Amino acid sequence: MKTINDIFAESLDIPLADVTDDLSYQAIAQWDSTAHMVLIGAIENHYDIMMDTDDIIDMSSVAKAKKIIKKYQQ
Amino acid sequence: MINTPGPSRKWDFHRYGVSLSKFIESDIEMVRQWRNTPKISQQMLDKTYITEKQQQAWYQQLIQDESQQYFLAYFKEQAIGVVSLTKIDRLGGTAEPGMYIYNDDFLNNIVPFCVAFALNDFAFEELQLKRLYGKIYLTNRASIRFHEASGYQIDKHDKNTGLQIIHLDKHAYNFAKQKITQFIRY
Repeated sequence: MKTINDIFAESLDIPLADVTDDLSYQAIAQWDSTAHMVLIGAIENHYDIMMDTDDIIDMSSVAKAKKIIKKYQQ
Repeated sequence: MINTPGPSRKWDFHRYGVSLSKFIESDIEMVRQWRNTPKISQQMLDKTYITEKQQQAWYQQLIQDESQQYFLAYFKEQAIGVVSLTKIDRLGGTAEPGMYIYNDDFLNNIVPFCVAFALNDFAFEELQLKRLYGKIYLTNRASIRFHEASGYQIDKHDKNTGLQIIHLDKHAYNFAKQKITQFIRY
């Protein structure tokens, strides 16, 4: 089953090994505005959730993404 | 620095959680300081340092010039950047948009799209323009991806300047923006 790390790797087009909880959007060039929206679309589709825009903005690291997704799954 | 709306602030356009407010005189020193910050000036075609005197002269010319409009972009009542329409040609229905986000908290997520789309909607709906032109550096991959996702089409490459000429038509824009605006849920 696909993991959140797999989704990050595919959406940002980076190696899976580079996806750690510390990875943040200020850290790599691949995580630009357009990639962020690809990532959001992939997350919403995979987890069948619809996030608030403020959460979309707040999703600035892998760790934060995991926390936000968990909130929608409760 | 003033970065929250004061009583004299007038909103000229509001959409996607973004408010655009035309420059007023009390804005221009803050904007000058933003513009002279290396992270912003390096993005500009003209990278020269702007003095207070130059900024004041530019503003006095701006307020009398109908071919240019400059706005502070507010998100959640905080000034986060600057957008502009220059070379506005009402008869030809064209203009050149410009944008920068000063606040790093709002880079690399959905907010730059919100700001750009607010400006584009203002241009196409309020000013009734038909086409927007832009110039971007081919080396700026993020900018190319951003503009393509917004519906821009590539015209030609200027080998002398390294700039790519791009344009955005209203129909292509309205089609492209739907993919992003579905996530703007304000």
